[in-house]
Amino acid sequence: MTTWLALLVAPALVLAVQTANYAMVHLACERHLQWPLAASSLFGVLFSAAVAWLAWRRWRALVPPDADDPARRARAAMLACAAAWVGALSLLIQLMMWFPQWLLSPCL
Amino acid sequence: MAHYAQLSRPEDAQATPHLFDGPDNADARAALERTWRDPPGLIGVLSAINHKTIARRFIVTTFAFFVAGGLLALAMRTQLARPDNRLVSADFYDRLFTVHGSTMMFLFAVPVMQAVAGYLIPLMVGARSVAFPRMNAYAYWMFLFGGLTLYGAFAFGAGPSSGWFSYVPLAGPDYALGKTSDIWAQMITFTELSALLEAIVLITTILKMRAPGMSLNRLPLFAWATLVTQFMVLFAMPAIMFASTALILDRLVGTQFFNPSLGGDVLLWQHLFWFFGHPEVYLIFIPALGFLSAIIPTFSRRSIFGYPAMVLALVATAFLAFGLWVHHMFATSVPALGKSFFTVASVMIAIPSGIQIFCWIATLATGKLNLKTPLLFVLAFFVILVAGGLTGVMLGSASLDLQLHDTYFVVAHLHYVLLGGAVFPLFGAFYYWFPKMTGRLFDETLGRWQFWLFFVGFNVTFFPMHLLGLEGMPRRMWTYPAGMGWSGMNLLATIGAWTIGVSVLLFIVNVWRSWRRGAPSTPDPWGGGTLEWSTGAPPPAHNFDVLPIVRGRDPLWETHDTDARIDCVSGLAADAREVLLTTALDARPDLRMLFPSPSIWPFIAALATTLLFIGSIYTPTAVVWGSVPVAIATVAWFWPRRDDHATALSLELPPWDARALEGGEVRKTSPTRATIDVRALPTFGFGARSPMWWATFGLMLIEGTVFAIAIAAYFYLRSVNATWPPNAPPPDLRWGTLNTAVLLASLGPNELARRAAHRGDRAGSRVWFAVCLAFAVVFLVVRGLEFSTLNVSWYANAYGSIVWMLLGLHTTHLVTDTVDTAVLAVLLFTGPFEGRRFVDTSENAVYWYFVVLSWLPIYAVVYLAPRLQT
Repeated sequence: MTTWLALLVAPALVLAVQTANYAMVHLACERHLQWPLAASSLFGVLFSAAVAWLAWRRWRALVPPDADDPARRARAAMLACAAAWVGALSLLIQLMMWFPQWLLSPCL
Repeated sequence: MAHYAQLSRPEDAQATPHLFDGPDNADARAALERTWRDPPGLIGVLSAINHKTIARRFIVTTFAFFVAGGLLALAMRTQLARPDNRLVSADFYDRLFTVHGSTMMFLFAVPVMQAVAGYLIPLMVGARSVAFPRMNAYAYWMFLFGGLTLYGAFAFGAGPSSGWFSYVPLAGPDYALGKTSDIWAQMITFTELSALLEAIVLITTILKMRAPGMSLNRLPLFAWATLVTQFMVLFAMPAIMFASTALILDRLVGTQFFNPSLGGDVLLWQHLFWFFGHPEVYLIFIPALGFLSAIIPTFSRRSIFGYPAMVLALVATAFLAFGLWVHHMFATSVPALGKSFFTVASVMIAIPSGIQIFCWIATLATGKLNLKTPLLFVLAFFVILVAGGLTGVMLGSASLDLQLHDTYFVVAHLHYVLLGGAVFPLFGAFYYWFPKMTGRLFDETLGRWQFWLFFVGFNVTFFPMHLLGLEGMPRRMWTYPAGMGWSGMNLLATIGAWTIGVSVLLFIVNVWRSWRRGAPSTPDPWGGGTLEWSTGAPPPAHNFDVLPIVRGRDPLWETHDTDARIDCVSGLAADAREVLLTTALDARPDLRMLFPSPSIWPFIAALATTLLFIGSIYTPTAVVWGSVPVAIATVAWFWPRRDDHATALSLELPPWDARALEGGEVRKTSPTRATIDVRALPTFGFGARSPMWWATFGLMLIEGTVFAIAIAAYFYLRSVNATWPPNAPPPDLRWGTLNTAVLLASLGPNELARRAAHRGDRAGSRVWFAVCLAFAVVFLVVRGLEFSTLNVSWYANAYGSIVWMLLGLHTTHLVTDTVDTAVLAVLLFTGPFEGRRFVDTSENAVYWYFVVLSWLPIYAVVYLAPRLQT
């Protein structure tokens, strides 16, 4: 489960937060409310960080084996490794999409 | 035991002894060849379903469209070779660039990747066929008819002229007169339907039909790339299908989706189009990355460097591709903060691309290079794609994009990315797998000539376009005055384009000559490590005499002692189209399933669907009368034949025995080799064990995406209108609530039908299905009454249009599922029957859940949201 959260849910959440924030820019300008944008970005950052860490722990627990090791263990380790890095990349992108909110007004 | 006697008639089973495959069994090999071969004659040609036959046709057809699109490009370049040229008229030039772009994107680049995958994936994963071979054939025919529709219209002067992205209002009813845009929109429907079906075929093949032992960490990277791409297809294509349907409805029946004067919005088109259009670039690019990951290890003579990094890069790229679409709209009124989110994503996608490039370079740098033609195309990819990628990062900057928007700089960028990122690797792939497909070696000298002409021609054509764009030359202009300083570079680009033309001609000559008179190839001329190189060249109709067992990422490079290890599967029927299904993650033997035989019905169904699609360009009533032949053809397609039924029964185990043997593998040792005998595996299973479940899952993802996009379009339109709903109250709450109650009540009998199927209770299953059907009919009657009294009209304003679209979409799904349930119920009552039918029953019940549950958000949006707002 931790593998799939980082491999599939974390990048999907990046897209969801991006779309939600994009849709909320209009409202943020109209109502002078920036916190919904910040809240969704913060949620995205925390979630990505958490699942990336969980996937990392799972990968380390499986100790990366060779592809010739018993199939199920090797498969789980490989996917956990990929998931940890996808989760980390998701975290990075969430952060990068948050930065402009600190600098740009939604009404520009 | 009463059920067993009724269901599988063991006396029939005993009457038909079968020949089973196994190592060193010449009789079985001959029987397999006879079994999997396509039938002869004209009817046989139209009935063919062997994946290699269909893929060869697909590849040849897409390549023919590539040549046709290329000829249109040559005409454009010749027109632009000198200033004030009058070789073609302005109107015809519009058609040229529209049909060129549409051809390359919809009829070549995406389908050719699926076509190559359709040939290679079963060979690479160690399977005898693709999943759903008849659907695969249907997808090909739909693609062919869609392409012919576009070119037929073009030949008769009705070709579209609004650009390959068909922006409204230019493509709308006020500016695109005649049927030109309708033909474009319907071509989209043809090709996207084909692509979606192919996606389901390929996903199911990869996840359920891999050779035992090929767990996901041993999946060839080309198969990973294909898997990732096909999931992207499921999410990307519905957006353009929704958009093209909305466009054709605006033009044909007067809906107002894109009419700003009645609540519509032209930017809605751009959002929908680019939500598909940007991922489409990656639908083209990611399979090409898979080609590279197949070619580079072979020609470096070592395994790929950083396999997990390659997989994570593929997955990350696929997701990020959906977060870039607004960067095509930087020149519109999108707020700056909104643009910044997409600038970030556009820049960050360079990270996973970079990871892959570094892994390939590491593989090349630490290997022993064999510099043949396929590798030349791969090396060119590095140069060209990096250049195209860098200009992509430049265009990701909103401020620079505003300056360069709609100039030749963008034309240069997109061709560097698409030709460099996809066509160069594709040529490499053709050369790489040509000996496998044809059994002949191509001419290496001609191949090198073709490569250099293509490489030089490409750069001579497209590099000057960067400079033309920086100097301000707009794209899509028919001609230009002398004295702008553009003449020299335009002439140079035209010379380059003709050089590319000569190169492609040389490729055709090489293929033709080599196919006819090339030196015979061995099964593995390059020393490749993946499974396709272990079988004949060309492969036999059944692909493998015995299915292999996989123990590493490069099975043919693994060294092992054949006496000590089990290295193949035995026990699949050789005189019936029986295939081995394995588990999705670890590829453990799971089921042995009987696949359908060749049939002309997919071809007839494609003809009927073509009639429906083309008819609906001219009259909306075609959707009604055109559905009848489609329904007849598809029911006939799925109706079991008595001889197929007898074969299925003779191979089937009674359900309770099958359950007892789940996961069981019986090992035996023949005189020469040890095998896994799969004869004892069940012939069907429920849930994720069944390929039908995966097809249903794919269908639900597609339709869920369509509904999500329709709901997003509703809220988008609401956000651009000051009053909502305009001029009329929302639909009567009572009708919607009554229908919600009817649908929710149908879940009870639906669940009972599903449970009855799982326990093999035919009588219970059919009775509960009939009850479920009654609920569906009640729903449709109530819906019909609601439509007849609906207080909003589809033509009055955009609100009416989107409400009718939401209700109509759901009603269409319910009608389809009702027909499907009715046919299944009839089969359960009267028709030929075997245990597999229970699986269909179970999956139909799953789909019913989906249809009911997908109604709830529509109910909330159409009936509740406007009232909550009030």
